[in-house]
Amino acid sequence: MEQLTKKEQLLLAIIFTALIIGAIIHVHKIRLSYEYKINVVKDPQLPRDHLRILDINRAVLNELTMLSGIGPVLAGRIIAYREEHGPFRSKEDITKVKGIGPKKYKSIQEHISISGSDRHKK
Amino acid sequence: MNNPFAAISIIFALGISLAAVFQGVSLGMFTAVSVLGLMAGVLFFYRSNKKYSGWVLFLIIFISGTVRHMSYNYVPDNSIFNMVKGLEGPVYYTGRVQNDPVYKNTFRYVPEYEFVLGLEAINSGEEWTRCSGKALVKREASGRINIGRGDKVCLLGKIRRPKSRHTDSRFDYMDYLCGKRIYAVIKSGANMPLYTVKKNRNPLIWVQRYLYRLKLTASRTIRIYLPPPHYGILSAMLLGDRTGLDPEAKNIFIRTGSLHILAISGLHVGIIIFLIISILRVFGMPTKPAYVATVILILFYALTIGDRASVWRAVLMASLFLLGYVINRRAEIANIYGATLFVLLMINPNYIQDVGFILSFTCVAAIIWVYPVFKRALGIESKGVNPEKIPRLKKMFINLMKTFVLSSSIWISAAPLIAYFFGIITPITILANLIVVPVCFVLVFLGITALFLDLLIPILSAFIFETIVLCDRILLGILDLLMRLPFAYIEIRTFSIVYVVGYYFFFILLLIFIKRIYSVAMKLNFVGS
Repeated sequence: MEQLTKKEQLLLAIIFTALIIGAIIHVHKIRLSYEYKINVVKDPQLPRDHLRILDINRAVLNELTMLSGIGPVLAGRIIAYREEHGPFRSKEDITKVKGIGPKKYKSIQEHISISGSDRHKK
Repeated sequence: MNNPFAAISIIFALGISLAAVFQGVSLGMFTAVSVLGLMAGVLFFYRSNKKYSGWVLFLIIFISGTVRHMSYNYVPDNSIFNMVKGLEGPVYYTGRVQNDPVYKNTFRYVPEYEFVLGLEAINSGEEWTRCSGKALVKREASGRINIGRGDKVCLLGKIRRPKSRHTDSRFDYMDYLCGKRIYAVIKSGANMPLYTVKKNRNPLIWVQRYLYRLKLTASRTIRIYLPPPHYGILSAMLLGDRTGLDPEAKNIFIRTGSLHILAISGLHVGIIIFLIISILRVFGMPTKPAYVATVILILFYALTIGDRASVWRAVLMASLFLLGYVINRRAEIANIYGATLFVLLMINPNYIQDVGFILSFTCVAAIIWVYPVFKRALGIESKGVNPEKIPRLKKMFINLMKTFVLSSSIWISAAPLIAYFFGIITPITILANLIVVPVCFVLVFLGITALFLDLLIPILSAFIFETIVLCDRILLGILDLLMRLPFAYIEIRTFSIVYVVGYYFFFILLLIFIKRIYSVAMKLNFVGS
């Protein structure tokens, strides 16, 4: 391997810095999502306006995993379904995604919205 | 002449511009008059006085440009351009699909597949009539359509001329399609027949299809990890796909004059080349083979992005530069510029009306010819000073000043064109570029790294995408702040082409004047030699 120039060393430094910063943000988000799930489980009467409502037509993988009972696999399936069939037209459409049945839908229906109704409310 | 290619290509471009302005003149008549005039010119001037031979050469190149534009845009009798008027109601068409069908959501919320069809025959009654030219097919989507680039298809649809639709201040949809030689739009309903007559067998088209799929996969990966508006920004920066760009974010970029980072051009290609070379070198590849491999990879990259003038400009210039090094030839940037301009205009003379093409070449011209003049005039770079003897702090200051002068040179050179095409003057660009360019470097670099990592270790890719969102947020925040400064941008309703021509006339005179003054000052030892 040839000696790395200063610019090449800089590139490697940028990658490592980005990985560290990204990891910190990622862990922080996971912690927030975990706390959020715990709160929902512990206190179902929690005021709904304090909870984040996700737009399932715009939410990305990390955001979808914040929903109760939705892990990375189901989140990926939701995005794949959206990509293939176009945006969800109603909230119930999410039950067409493999792995999301009426029971799961019932537990998340108050925390989701579709574009045009409640977009990213806090 | 030091830079023959630059001079030849600029004269060639002027010839094409003239033909573009005076469209409608008969090609045959023009060629006959030109040939006769040239022959007379050659006989008269060259035999009587050799100093006129340069002017004759000038004329030959100029007329070649004009003829090239006319022949490229020549419309034969059986062209769809001439036939579209007589076709009413649904008609059958056969032809080859020229690009990969794109799934689009229209403003009426009726999803469509859009593709360009190279027409071969039309059946309006009982028999098929041969036909040529390209048409844009808009097929209502009810499910997936099983056709791809290079397939020969037959479909039923209604045809019409493209409608003139102004979206930006100078952008006209009909002109845009005509620039691509698409003279008709075919509307095909979901229930109308569409079937494949013959599957593609061309291996080159299979490569293009594969690259398009690769682009879609990359786009999907970005969409999975990034929320809007960050998805749109990174997609535009890496894949040249601006469909997902948030209008508010786009507005911020327009008003700070930094929209250029969302259009793939020399900056992006330069970053990608730098990355490829660095990676190949890290894996121990020697410099020259690494350069050849880089040229091949960026050509594939340009094919993946599609038909973009600014991308091809950057890729061709960079390839010539790298190959020059490989065969031990000194790379003369002005000649490379000229050769690239000439090649692109030979391939497609209609690029002369493409905003991206014009701005891209103007900015590079500013870097080649305007920046050195300003740099020397302001005394930032003095010849003969050993850079190692300059203190570090002073060196940093000089580099900062150089970047500032470079940014100013580009802005001063491109400002009238931006005012003409977009109706805005953005003095804040000079300052914004100092921030935008390094952040663009980081974003493109991290974006490519994240896409590759997603194939190997997705969790690391997720980390890098988080950092990209952070960088994006910081960038948008700073640009938003800059946009709010007084006189950051001035919106103007109309900026006549006469002002543009006048501006460049006086600007070139000013550059010549500065150069003369500098050379006189050098002779009198007023400036360090």
